[in-house]
Amino acid sequence: MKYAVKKLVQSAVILFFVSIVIFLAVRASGDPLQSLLDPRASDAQRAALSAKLGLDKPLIVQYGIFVFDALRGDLGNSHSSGRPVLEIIGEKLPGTVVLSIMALLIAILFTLLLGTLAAVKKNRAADRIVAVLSALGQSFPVFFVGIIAVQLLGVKLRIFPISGADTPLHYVLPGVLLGLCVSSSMALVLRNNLLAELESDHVKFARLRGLNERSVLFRHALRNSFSTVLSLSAFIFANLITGSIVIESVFAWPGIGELSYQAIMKRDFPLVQGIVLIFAILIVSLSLLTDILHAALDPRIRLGKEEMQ
Amino acid sequence: MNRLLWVEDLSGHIDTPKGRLHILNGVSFCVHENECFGIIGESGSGKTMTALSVLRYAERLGFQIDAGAIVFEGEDVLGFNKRRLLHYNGGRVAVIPQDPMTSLDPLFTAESQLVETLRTHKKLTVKQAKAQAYAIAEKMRIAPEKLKCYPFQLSGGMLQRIVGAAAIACHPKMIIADEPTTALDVTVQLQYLKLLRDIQDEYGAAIVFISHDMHAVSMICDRIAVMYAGRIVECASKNGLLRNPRHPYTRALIRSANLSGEVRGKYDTIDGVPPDPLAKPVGCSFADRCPHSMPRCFAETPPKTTRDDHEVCCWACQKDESKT
Repeated sequence: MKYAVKKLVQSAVILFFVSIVIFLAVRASGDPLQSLLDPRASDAQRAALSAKLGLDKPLIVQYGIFVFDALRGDLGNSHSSGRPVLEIIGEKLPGTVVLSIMALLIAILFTLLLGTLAAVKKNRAADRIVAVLSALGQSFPVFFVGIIAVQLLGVKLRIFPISGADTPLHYVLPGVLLGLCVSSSMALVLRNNLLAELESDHVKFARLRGLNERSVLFRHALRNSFSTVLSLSAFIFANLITGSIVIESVFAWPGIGELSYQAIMKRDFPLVQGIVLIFAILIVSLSLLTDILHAALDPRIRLGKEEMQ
Repeated sequence: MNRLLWVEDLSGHIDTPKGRLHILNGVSFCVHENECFGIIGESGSGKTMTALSVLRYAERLGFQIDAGAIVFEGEDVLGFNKRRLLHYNGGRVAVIPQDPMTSLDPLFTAESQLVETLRTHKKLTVKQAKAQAYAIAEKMRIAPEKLKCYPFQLSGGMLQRIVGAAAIACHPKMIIADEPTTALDVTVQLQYLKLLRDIQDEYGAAIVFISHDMHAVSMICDRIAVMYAGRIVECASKNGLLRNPRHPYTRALIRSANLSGEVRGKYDTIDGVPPDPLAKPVGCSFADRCPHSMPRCFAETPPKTTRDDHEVCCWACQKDESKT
């Protein structure tokens, strides 16, 4: 419990710094008035809009307003459409998050299957095949594989729908593709970790105690190497979410990637800030979740190093 | 006394990128029921590989047996199938590992690993297994609350007692202790050896004690085998070996261990180095370090000769005997 609170405070501190960086970075990206107003607009018009959007106030005051509003759950209104930022994000985010979670779960599943298979069949055919698949998965970018899959399975064979997110079937192609691409690197990491674990003293002693191969592999070796997969998962989920722009354009996916692109192009400060902040909150909570899972899995983290003798 | 384990002419190698390592070159010995049998030798002499072969674990490390037999309670160990092997390991022959600090799974409590071992070999409910685990812990002088701890919360001495408890949990007929005291400090070492001896008396298990430490071996063993370059060069009762060592290597070993504890200006060392395991052994492997070597020693491997249960493999010793 103490551990969870400690991690929670850490997360809050991280979010605070993220908010500063977002706020400054957005403002460094250019002047939003340029894209909102006609180039021939008068200085008075500029000043009026600037005042309306709150851009005339000193930076520190603008930041204060941003943080206090955000703490109350208000991310402001979009400069371009005037609608509340949270509402716009609320429409687009679920599609992206559901897809990312699905891809991640598929990735973890494949990682466990392929990584374990490769480690158990070390240097045999199955291991070689996994190694080749991983190399392929890592060397083809997701969008390339995506375009080919869309062409082949969607356009030519018409097995899967190719654009939108209307039915569960729409999730299959992008979800599996993303999951596979991600698991290609994770499976190798798990394999190597598992191999090291299988040669460790405690696995040797487990075998010499007469434990059967199933206990040795799943109860002792795999559980010890799974923490690596868990750490990678948080990192990969972050990449999936923030990298959604590419995937979403290949699958014409109604998600947040497309929205971010538009917001950045229009220099829609509140919307960009909102999106990045929501990303940050998602990623920080996920890493919090993996930390807590780590602790649940590993007593050394749970009980802290101070008890070590 | 009944013969419990019998190893005859065991030879084996490991293939490495550098070439074939001849690790065991005809190891023969036997362990009687309820005795403490010591195997002593320097690192690389093949003591651990001998133990791992007896446990059938050596093959996992790429060790291939070329010749020889291992018989345990009249059964051919090398012919065991997977199921027999699972019961043999831990159920009939247990191991006390070299490094207790890393030999337990860090993610499970000591208790759960003891219970796991017990339930692997005996039909027990979790509750029964727990009760037995605590009973064994008491025998090994482990405080009950220590069983609730994870390995990283325990000291080296405590962990050594816990792996000891895991070893005796299923009442094995033989316990192989491979340098069990190397990781402990000297005071704890003595305590642990005494504890091992007590447990052995109570459980009636034989102990195979592997060590490079002449002091430790001479303290707890009934019989001692001396290993050199993948062979057992001399094997006798403790007193026979310490008072009347016959093989030149054993003599040198005892001299350098300085068992009498007399104060001298320098420690005795043995000149030269052990033979390269890459070379196929010809003749006596100690010949080029031996002060008594004869031409024959370099050409022919000395056979085992026995007098009053004192076995030795040495041409020079045979010559001495024929004189007397």
